[in-house]
Amino acid sequence: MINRRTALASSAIAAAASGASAKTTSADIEPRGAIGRLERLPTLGLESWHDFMCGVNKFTNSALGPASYARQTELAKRAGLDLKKDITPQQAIELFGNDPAIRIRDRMWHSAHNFEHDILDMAFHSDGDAYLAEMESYDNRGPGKLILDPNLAIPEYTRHEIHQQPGGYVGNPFAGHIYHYATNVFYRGANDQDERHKGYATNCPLPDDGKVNRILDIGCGIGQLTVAMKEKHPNAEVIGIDVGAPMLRYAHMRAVDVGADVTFAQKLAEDTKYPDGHFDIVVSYILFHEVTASASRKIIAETMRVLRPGGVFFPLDFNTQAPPSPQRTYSTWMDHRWNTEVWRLQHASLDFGGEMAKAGFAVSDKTAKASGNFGNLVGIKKA
Amino acid sequence: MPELNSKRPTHTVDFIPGDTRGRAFLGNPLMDGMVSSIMALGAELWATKRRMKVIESLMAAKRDVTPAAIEAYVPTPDEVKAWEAERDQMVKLTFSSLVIKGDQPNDFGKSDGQKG
Repeated sequence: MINRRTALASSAIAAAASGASAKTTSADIEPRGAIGRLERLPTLGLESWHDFMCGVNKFTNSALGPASYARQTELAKRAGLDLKKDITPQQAIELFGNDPAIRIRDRMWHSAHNFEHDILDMAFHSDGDAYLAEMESYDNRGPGKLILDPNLAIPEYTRHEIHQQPGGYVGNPFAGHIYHYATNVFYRGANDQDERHKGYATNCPLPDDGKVNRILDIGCGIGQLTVAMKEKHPNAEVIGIDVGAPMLRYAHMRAVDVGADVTFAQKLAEDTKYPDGHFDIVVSYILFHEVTASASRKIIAETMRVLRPGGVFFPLDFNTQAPPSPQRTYSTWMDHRWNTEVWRLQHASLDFGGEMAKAGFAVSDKTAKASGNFGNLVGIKKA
Repeated sequence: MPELNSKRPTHTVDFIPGDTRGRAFLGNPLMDGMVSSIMALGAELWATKRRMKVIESLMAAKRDVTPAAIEAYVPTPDEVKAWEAERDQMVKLTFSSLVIKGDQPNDFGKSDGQKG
């Protein structure tokens, strides 16, 4: 199967420059071509707005963020707080909540986040029939498979507009499109070709016996890690599951475009219905801080069940055991309350490695760090 | 969410709306609105500047300057780097006054030392 994205990368650029199309079907929409595996946003204007938000994000992180953090540190010191201990969210709000240096960072961050979401939502809805037709043209195409379950009972906890994404993962037909380009603002060009996810796949530990026949990516979203795992382990059967059908449709479409033979299935991570011991590796990427603590425990237990003895569980997410501090309390609470990360505080309250151990995993934090932002826990199902 | 003009299946379910929009981080919702407005204007200005750059690049290469050519243009690696630097400078010039460090003076109305 032709890997259209890499095979046509340079010709897509040339084709785009000449005004020709790199489409493979008449329903395929990429009016401005693609650069590698990233389709360019459909208009120059939209791309430029998005580019500006990348710049604002960069400025917020490099200038407003440090100023906010320094101010929090100063205020905490004046209040006589131990900078190596958490405080309560209420204490954080009272101490930091009215300071201009701290609030302007939060305001700028939110304004940019909302603007990015709005322009993407507007763009994909304005040509909605064509984008839905495009996904329809891919739904039954290979390589790989898309398996949706219209009868799946979608839990209430998954229906929130997580990180303020309009409609969340389950309620907006273009959730995948919006998620992809909005998260690219955070990556600031460092993940346009899924480089981060490829790095995670490279750093994913293997079972001691080296056997990797089946891999499961739970809460796979738009499938970036799923495809990266397939590219790392081309002979393995790789499956990505998620609760959001729009996310899975987009994931499948992208996987077909890059020629990755993976299966995307609409399932619950806490009740996959796969047989016992079915997988050699289970991975996840920033799933657990977006589910309840109760669901996390169930998902960990289900992961234990579907892994074979000696199998590896590699969950990438915020480190629940990161060093405590008043500033950490504040940023976690802000993310929870004002970024609609509804389950963030529940996740932060977990000893995630401890929960993995309770479920029966041998837990290690000594693997190669996949990312400086995320914990690097690995669980091995004991043989 | 914008209106969707399509009868195709969307494969969506009801969602739980958030409550974070339109909230006042800066004590006055109009102040928050002003920040968002300035950001939107900045995005529009950058979009215009970037379009001008595309046009200039096409003209410099003596290529046809048509709407299609403008939309399709792919910046060179050097252009990507240069345009990003200019974007970052524009963002910094626009927003650097919002970077607040240390205690803020609150001496409006106090004597500036002039007599009489």
